[in-house]
Amino acid sequence: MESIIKKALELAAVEYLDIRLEESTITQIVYSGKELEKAGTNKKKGGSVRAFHRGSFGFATFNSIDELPKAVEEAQRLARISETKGSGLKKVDPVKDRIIAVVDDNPLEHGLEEKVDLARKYNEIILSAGEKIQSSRVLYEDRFVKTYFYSTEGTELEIEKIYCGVSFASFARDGSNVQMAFNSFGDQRGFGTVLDHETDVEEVVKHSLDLLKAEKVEGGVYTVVLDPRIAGTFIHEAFGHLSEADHMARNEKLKAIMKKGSRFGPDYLNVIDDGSMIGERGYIGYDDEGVRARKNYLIKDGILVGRLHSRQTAELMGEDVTGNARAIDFSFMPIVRMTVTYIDRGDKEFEELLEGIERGLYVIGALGGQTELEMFTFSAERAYKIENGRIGEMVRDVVLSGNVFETLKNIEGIGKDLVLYGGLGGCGKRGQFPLPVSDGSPHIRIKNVVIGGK
Amino acid sequence: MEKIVEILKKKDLEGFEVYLEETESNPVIFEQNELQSLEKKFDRGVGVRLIRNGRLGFSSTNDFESPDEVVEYALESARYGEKVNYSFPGPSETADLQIYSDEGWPEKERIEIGNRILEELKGLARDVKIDMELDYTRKKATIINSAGLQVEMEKTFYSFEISGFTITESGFVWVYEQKASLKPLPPFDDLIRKLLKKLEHADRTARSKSGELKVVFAPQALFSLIRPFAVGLSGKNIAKKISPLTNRIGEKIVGENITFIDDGTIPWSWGTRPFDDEGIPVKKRFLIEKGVLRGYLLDLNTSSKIGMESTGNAFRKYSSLPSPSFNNLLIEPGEIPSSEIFKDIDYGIVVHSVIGGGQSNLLAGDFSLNIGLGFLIEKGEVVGRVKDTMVAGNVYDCFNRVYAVSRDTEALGPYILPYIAFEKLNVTAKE
Repeated sequence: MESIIKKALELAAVEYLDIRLEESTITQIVYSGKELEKAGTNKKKGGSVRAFHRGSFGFATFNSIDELPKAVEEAQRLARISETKGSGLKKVDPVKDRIIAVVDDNPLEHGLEEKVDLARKYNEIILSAGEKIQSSRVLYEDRFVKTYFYSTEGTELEIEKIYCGVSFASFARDGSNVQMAFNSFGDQRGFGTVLDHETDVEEVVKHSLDLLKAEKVEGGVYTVVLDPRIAGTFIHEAFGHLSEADHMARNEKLKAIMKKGSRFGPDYLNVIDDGSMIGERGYIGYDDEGVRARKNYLIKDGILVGRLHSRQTAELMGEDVTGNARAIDFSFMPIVRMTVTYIDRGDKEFEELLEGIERGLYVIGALGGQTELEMFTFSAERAYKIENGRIGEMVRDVVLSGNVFETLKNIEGIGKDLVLYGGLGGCGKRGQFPLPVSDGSPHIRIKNVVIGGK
Repeated sequence: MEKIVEILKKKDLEGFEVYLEETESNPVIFEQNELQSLEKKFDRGVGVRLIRNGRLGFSSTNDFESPDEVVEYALESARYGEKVNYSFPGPSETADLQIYSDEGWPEKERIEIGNRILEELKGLARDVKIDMELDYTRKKATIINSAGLQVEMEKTFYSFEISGFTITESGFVWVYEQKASLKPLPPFDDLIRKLLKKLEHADRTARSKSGELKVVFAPQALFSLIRPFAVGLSGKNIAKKISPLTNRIGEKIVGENITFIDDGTIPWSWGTRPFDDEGIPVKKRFLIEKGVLRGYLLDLNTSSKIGMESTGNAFRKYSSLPSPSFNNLLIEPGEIPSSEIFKDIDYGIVVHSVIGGGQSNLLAGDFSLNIGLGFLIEKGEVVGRVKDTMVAGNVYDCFNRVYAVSRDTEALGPYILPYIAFEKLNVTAKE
């Protein structure tokens, strides 16, 4: 393998060229209601060549390694077509490294039958919970990915990753009222991550049934307390995407807004992206340009101090690389992405966060989120009314929206209880979905959040 | 592929199907006013579906050197697989449709188009950052099954997407336009004009009242209101009985001025194809006719579960099992041009894009959307852009209160959508 790649690299006659080869094996089990909709293993292998010349990239993908020399030529041809001249790539020191996935209990050593049994066990807990439970969805997934990355600068990497996770959803129905509750667990720690979730499944069932009785939230402007999971989605959507330097690298106005040293939140707000946290779903070790992952502060003590870079954006902005160029697989060009993004712990107890809220919401669980960089939206699985500092009855259909320049400053308190979440989904950007990321936070309190509804 | 078919023929099976897919795409990408990359992406893979002892097995690969392995994985999967009671379809007559034009789109020509648009926009006062993607893709799919079906389909896809980003007094503004067809695209002058018009309107901010207001959804935003219907009409959710449309064919579910047609035969339209990804002929069908539910989106599996025939709506990649979706969705246009709809609004909002589509309880038909780009209209005139404003409701409720459907439509890939005006929607604005 190594000799074939090195030989192909000799064909390079551009400023820079890299070669990525990848092999992945995915096992998925899907229960949908009573039916086992899917149980099996898929394989994918292939590679890509990325050439850089005079400011633009040429990129060619292939399935079989025999096509590698042709792809090298094709990527170079594409890189040379443009006659424009742009800036280069940030200089980095070449690295040679080999990362073997270390997991406590390798999911690949467990048979399909055992995984099917596990998914069935969780599925039966949901389906046996009474006549109001209309359906279920349980997903088990493990994914083994092996990547070789070689560049004309001398970087040589061999990286293995093993993802494993499970998710379960319960659908409750009462007449035309259908409600769903959901939970998921996924990371790079091994098979143990998917075991012993019976209690979590029971809770999901209970939440779906409770949602049947919950009222729709009344639209308006609220003070909210977010649980760690939706607070993680919040920071990912509200600030993580804005920190991606590709949005601002060639935009003077946005650069001015995102000037380091600007205040973005209260003194006690710290936001970090860290792709070096072994075991987390968003762990990468190295990014897809061969740059080592590191802990990057984005906001420190409420002040903007950093952002996420690829080699190209780092060069354009005259800043250091951060190790954030990622692709969902070999068939995509790496772009600036997050890894493990979180709000660091603060000093408040949960009860202190509730204090003094006359009319608010305690918001729990995340169904998703989206941003246009300034305005963003994220939605909760469920919420509870807060009246005079006390948690009251459940409400549903809670979709929150905000404006990054106001909402971060409206944070009124951060708890001590930091939790990171991986799960089985991921982040989407420029057609690349789902990218494994983690996000997290302690409980946080924010004022003036717009919530849609009647 | 032949090797895999030979191996399958020797196994003791109730049925099998081999789906081969070959895609070559060639996007030219501009980012923030500069050429970013040219790509040539090739993918060729095969999916194997088989039925043994009444159970479905599936596996896929793009490694053609080990045909035995993909069959073994599929057989293993069939030991646990879903119990199925359908069989693969034999050959049938299919229409000859316009889906292939190999004229191509040279990279150099696309770079020139991109540069010309950038040059044109540079001449304007606004500081707008433009991203563009100009793509030419060819796709070939072959289906062979144990019932004697052996069909091949080749499609070409031409697409152009442009988004503009600018920072004005009203904050961050994103505008977006696209054009897509199976044949080469006409010039983009009209698209650029539309894009500029939106930018112009976004210069000023306006504050909307909260409460029940007239709201018009433009085609790009309407897409978010179609999603709950896509979920509700999907055979998957009908078979599971979690769709509110379960067992309601023939009933009136929305207003009489609403007609949804699934038409996979429209010449050169994005979703047009003679047969679906299981080899079932594709037709024109009413899903909702004058407010009355007429049919669902079905494939072999979901149709067999509810005792109906497949509607030819199976979609898949080689690496996944089929799942039903729209071929082309046409919402039947109305009588008046959208410009007249706006003129008649005394106080209301027109929504061009939303943030957060698909995050509400789609099954229930609920939506709660943050308006990305939307304008306040007073006495028929655009006052300015609304911000930090949400619009919420339920599609099965608000599609009963549509007071106008525009005559003009926009094709967004396989969706051909008009402007739809709602009498009263719940709007929440930050005070």
